[in-house]
Amino acid sequence: MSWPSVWRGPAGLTFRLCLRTSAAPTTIALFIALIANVASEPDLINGSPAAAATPWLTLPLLVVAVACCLCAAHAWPTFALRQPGADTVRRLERSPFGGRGAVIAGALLAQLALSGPLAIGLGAWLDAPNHARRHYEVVAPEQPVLQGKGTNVTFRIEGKPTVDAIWMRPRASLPTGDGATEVTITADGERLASTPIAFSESGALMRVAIQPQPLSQFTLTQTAGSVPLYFAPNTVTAVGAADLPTWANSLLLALIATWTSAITLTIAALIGLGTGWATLATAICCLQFVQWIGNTGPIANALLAVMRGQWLL
Amino acid sequence: MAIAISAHQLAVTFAGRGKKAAVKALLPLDLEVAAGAIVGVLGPNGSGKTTLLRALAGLQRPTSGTVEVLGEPPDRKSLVQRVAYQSEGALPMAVLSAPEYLAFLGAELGLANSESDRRAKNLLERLELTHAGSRPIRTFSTGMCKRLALAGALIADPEVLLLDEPTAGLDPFGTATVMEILRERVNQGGAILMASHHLLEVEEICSEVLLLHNGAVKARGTLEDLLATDDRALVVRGLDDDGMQQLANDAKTRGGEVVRIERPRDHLFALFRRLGRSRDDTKVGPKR
Repeated sequence: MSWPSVWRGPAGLTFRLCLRTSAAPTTIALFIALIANVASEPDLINGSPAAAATPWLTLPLLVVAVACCLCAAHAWPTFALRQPGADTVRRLERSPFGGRGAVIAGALLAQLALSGPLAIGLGAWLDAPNHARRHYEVVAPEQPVLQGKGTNVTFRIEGKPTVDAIWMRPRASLPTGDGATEVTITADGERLASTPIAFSESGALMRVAIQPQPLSQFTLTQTAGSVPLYFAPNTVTAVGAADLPTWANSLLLALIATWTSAITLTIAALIGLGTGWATLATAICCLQFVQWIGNTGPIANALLAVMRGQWLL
Repeated sequence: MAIAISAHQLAVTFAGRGKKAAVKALLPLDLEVAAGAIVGVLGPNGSGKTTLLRALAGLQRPTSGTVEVLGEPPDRKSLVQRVAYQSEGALPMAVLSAPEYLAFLGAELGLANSESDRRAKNLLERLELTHAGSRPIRTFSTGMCKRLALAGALIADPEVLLLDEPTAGLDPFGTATVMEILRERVNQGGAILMASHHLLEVEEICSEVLLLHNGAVKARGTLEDLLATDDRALVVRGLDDDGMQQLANDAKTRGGEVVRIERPRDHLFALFRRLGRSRDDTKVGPKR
């Protein structure tokens, strides 16, 4: 029964309790996700099957997050009003936060310990791309429109990174004549892709591979066709290789998932000053769902990015 | 004897909220508990016993008056190890096992790991909780929880014990063990303030009592002072009924009044205690 000191305090204790309590629901959620992924057959059109499996990566990670938050808030009696044994703990913890800070730290570490391997393992099992790639934001001009032969649009890239692909998903207007619009990509007067890229419908994603090279800007020039193209913000991306492997990307995802719990538990600690356990538990579940499913936090985009092989930093 | 606990005009009023009126939980009272004394706090539910103990433990800020425990205000961090408070309610973190719970308390109280483990082992053995092993506290019976709560209160070897219903829910064996431990603490110079509804135990162990009713002190003092009467009892052995009658007549001739002649019997608590001392015995008869 001799535990090292780190296990005996509120942080270590919460860490152990969260691992112990979350193990069963996480295992169940994992099995459900694995079975559901095998059973489901998403309808994909030139899409990535990994991105379609995002919900099955979400489920176990969400269960870990909710379980760790609920476990921490329930185990520590000062987290809510009228909890059993609150007087005992309140006497021992005379700090302004009553030990809640250490408890939150323990819960977050436990979540990271569980969700890290889960994110790495599930990411690989659900066919997330082997190599995470870095996406660079490009700056478009005021009128990013191609609407006639010879018109062009120049995009700038901050920092002159090494780019090996350009992804585009322009919106198309009604054609003014026959034929799809053909576009060439050039930088400093040299063509980056040997063949023109053709667009005939709105929202079609084109991934154009180029020779890896440092780029500070590139120009799209319409060479043929009659479909006007509008490049809305975030519809053109420069893509380059990332320096770190995919498992590091999954680990980043686990960190982002932990961040959502940090926000949840901080708000819960404030709510708990004036509510009992039932209200607090409801609040924790709502906060987590709003961030994970309701898209108010960074986690939903991060999950999708990992499954698409986009480097999160 | 040094004064371990002192309260002067201590009063606690819970503020009203909305249409709820303020509640005077404790009317101004003075209290002194010397080292080596065990004082029982008696009173019906809602009489202010727990409020008094919480105020002395530094968990309830007094509305007026002053409190000192071991010469310091009760909410001082330095007192956490020297003064233990066993609350009436359930234990915190019921998912832990008994050794885990005591290890947590030891760490929070600043004990070295080895010392904490040694004391926990002794207390669990003494309070007969070793059989619980790694079972979580939430599976414990009420009595086991009470015994573990006392172990938690004793883990730092405190000088002052503030105990709220320490024997509630305990079986007679458990009660006897707790009483024995409390007596030892007092003999070692500790001071104990104990709220209880078990009058027999209070009578047996406490040197003084404080009787509360609706937050006010209704009676206080040593048991000798409070319970003494002018009656005298004579317990005899070896006389038959005729002999007893003659003795009664003799008492009358001397100006006394015979209130009753009865065959006194022991109380169940004593029977259980004897049982506890000789558990190997298969038969327990009357005391000879």
